[in-house]
Amino acid sequence: MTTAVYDYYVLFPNHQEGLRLYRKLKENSIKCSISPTPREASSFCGMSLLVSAENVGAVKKVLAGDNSIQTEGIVKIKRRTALWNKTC
Amino acid sequence: MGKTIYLDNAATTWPKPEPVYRVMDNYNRKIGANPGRGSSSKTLEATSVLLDTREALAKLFNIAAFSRVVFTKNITEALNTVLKGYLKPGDHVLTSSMEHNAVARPLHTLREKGVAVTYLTCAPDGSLYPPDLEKNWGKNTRLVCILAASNVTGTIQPLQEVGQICREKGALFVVDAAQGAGNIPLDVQEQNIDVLAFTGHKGLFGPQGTGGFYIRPGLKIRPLIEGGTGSSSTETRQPDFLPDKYESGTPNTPGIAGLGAGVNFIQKTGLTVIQEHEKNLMDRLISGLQSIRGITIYGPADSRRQTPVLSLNLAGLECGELSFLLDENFGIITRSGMHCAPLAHKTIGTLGQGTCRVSLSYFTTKEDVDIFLEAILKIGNFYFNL
Repeated sequence: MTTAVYDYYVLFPNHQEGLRLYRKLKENSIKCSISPTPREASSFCGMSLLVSAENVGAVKKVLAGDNSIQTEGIVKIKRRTALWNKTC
Repeated sequence: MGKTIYLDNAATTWPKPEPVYRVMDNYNRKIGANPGRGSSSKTLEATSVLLDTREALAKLFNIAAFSRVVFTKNITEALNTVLKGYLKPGDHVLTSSMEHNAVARPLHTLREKGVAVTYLTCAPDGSLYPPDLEKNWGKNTRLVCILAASNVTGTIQPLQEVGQICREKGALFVVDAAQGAGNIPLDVQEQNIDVLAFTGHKGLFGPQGTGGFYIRPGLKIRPLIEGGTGSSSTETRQPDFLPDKYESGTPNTPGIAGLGAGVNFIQKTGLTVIQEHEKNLMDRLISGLQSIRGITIYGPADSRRQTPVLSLNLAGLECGELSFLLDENFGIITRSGMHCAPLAHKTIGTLGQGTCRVSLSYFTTKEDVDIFLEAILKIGNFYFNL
């Protein structure tokens, strides 16, 4: 039986905030990937940042240190297919 | 992975014709002045740019007086200017269930201020049935606003029939030509169009930050923005003559220069040539997709009834996933989601899931379409073989 894999998606009100966090994470050498937002995340913005379980703690720390970046939370979603070419 | 294959021309066309880049660069390097401000030789060169582009657009849309062509920063500003500048509480508007948010959002706000809005339900393929206008016509119906073609399904709307009804019944006919201008013939005389709103950066091949509208003589529409126009400068009252009434502040002159070059490219190439090329590609795309297992195509699936825009889904995948895979693994750019048109998605039955939209241009090749079809097939086969 395959172990379930979970991905973390940081949600945003718009693309601008997503890009701001993406740049901040890159500056801090934290791996992440710009991703379409999965439907089950129920976000109004089609873009989210995909982060692995190993890195989500670091992402939360960055957000805590810069409260000017607006997010709509971080959702944990079970990876459904192996088709995703995960780059985070 | 090879070159990028750009299939998101409904969002913005890319690439642009080479003259567009050259003309904008030339404007910025060699001309650079502010049009309509003063009377220096440089200013006159800058003013000529606006004049030439107005003339080019007037010719393309069969507009008799080019001064009736107004520039705005985009079509959304044009539509907001017209809808908010014309309608008053108590008025009734007829529009369609395929409209983009550039129409739906200002109408939403106007509805809250006492304007009645009726959304005519289009068929699942996106097409509007003109007799529905007469069934829903009220004594206060003052304006009909319809898109020329859907940005989700490409469905071309029956503008001539709608225009005829509006003319007979005495309501303003406003056309949102964001999709369609530069792809299909638009004729303000033949189609009885009172206001034609256009964007510069899609089918007209101009840069982003350009757009505008044509307004028929005799229409009174309040301007959205007022300010310096370089005319009537002894007065603080906004001028009442066109195009100054609606063009306050410094325009995007290099952008308008580029737009002029884009329109000239269309005229030089021939709109029928462009249309034929896009139609042939759409035939190839549609027939290829129809033979792939798990594909749902939305809209007419008929190149004669749609612009080079098509929405699809692949069974079992979210549309966002499909676009992501096409981009990451094949270098193919598409757009997935709601396309700023929730009404359209509700009409075609995809409000919960969205669609993956593919949109071609004159610069798309047969090879691009074939590579896209191959990629969809590979993704579909991989998924179905899991």
